[in-house]
Amino acid sequence: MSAREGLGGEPTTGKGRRLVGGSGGGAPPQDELSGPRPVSPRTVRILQWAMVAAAVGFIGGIVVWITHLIRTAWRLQDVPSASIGISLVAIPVFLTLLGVVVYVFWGLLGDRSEA
Amino acid sequence: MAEAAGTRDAVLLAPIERTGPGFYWAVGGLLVLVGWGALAYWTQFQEGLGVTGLHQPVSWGFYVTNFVFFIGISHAGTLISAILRLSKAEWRRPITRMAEVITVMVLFIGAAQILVDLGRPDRLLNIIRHGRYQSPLLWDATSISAYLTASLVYLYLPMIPDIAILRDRLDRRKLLYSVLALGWTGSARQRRVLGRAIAIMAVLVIPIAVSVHSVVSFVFSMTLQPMWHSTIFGPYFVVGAIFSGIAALIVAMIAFRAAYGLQGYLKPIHFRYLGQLLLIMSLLWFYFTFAEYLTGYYGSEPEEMRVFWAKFTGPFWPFFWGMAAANFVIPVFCLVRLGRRTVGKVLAASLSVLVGMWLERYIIVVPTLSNPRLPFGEGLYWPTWVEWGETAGSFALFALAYLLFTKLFPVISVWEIEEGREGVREVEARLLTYLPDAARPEPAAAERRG
Repeated sequence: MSAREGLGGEPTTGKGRRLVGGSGGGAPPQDELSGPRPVSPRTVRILQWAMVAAAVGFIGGIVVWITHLIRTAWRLQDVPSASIGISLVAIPVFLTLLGVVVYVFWGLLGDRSEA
Repeated sequence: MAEAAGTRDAVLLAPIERTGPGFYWAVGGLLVLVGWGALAYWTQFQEGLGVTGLHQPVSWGFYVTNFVFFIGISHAGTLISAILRLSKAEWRRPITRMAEVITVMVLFIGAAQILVDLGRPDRLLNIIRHGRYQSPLLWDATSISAYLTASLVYLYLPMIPDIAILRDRLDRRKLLYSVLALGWTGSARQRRVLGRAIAIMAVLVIPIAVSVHSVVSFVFSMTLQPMWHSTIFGPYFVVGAIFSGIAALIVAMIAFRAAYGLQGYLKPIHFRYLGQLLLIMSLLWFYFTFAEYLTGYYGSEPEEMRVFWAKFTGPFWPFFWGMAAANFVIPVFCLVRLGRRTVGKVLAASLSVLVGMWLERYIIVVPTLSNPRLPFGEGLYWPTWVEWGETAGSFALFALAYLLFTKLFPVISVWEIEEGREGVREVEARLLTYLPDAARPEPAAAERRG
């Protein structure tokens, strides 16, 4: 890579080390402005709900795992107090994270009004 | 917003729109190192941990050093970004995204070090099936999972308006951006929802980040090993993590500033502020280190002193004194006066801190295992090409993942910059509220009149 050629491929515009800068400050290439390719709203919506499901599955999976560890410790009488004590902190944290994720998805996807 | 981004902040989107040969060269170079790491791991996977320098009594070496180092670096992002966001520090705007990306990337790579250290990754299933919460290792697994989840959410939420800009502006990757933008139109309700969620995450992520490195330190301090069994290891590790995190953030900022021509956004003033933070953390780190070693020395417990002298004058002295120079002497020398050449001085200090903090992690992990309390006999640790390869591969993978991220998403938050421009009056009004009310007479003056 030469000194006047950056990771974005634009030549410098004169002030030494400005490696990328768009074409003089603004407009994107013509091919990118000539009408975006349509994307099926249904596909988008399905993938968005799949994201929510993945988040619920991931965080829910961790909560189920922690619960499994408590049950195992309880069954074996293997200091269950340690598992319960840590879970009392960990599970609410994960549930709060899940709550934030669901709140954002619900709040944004449920609102389609213009700015 | 999209219109504003199309004109004033086009430079932030340029790396996504156009790819030059420099990018491919960088990716190629990093892939070579990642390939070396993959080959090293494959060799270890085939032959077992015997191909590494790990043995008895030193069963933790580069891998655990890398684990602690990477998890420490992760504090760059979320913690620094959350603190700056909550304190409404306006200079944070071009910095937060870069910091948050570091966190997510290094958390993945840091957690993977444990898998590499296991030798047999299938044994991870044992932790899932038969884990015991008495072990600090499992506390680690839980807190790192929480931190990774929180950091991913905290990275993603402030990206939504920028992804919407990309969705509306670019023709390529339309599906990706449409899905991730979550139908963002910038309506008042959406702004309110997002603002509230970001605020909740900023509050939530700080205790999680602090807990993560405290728990990482517990892996050592909950044992009775000499120079590990310390009550200040939690805060000591947190301070070290923030210290190395700031250094990593500065290096990333300077690299992308040069590569993407972001001088207009990442100004010397940003580096000055971060340099001052780095200097404070350097002094704080020195204080903790001094307290830690002085307490051990004063106690003069024989096993403790063996490790102590192994570090000070024994086989580990180059690492120990190298750490002291890199974490304290060089940064203080570089940062104490930031008049001219701010960026260069801050970069030199940050690179020094990154080397110094890696050495610090090494100095914590290896000498204690080399001189165990139980009569196992002493043992030195010499990493083989496998550990070197895996370490180089891990660092390269981090850089590669970061680079690829910048080709998909803006590395500086476009909407937050725009919001900052629009909010100048609000900031001015807020500043005035910090000052004594000019309209109301001072009590002393009122008394004089009375």
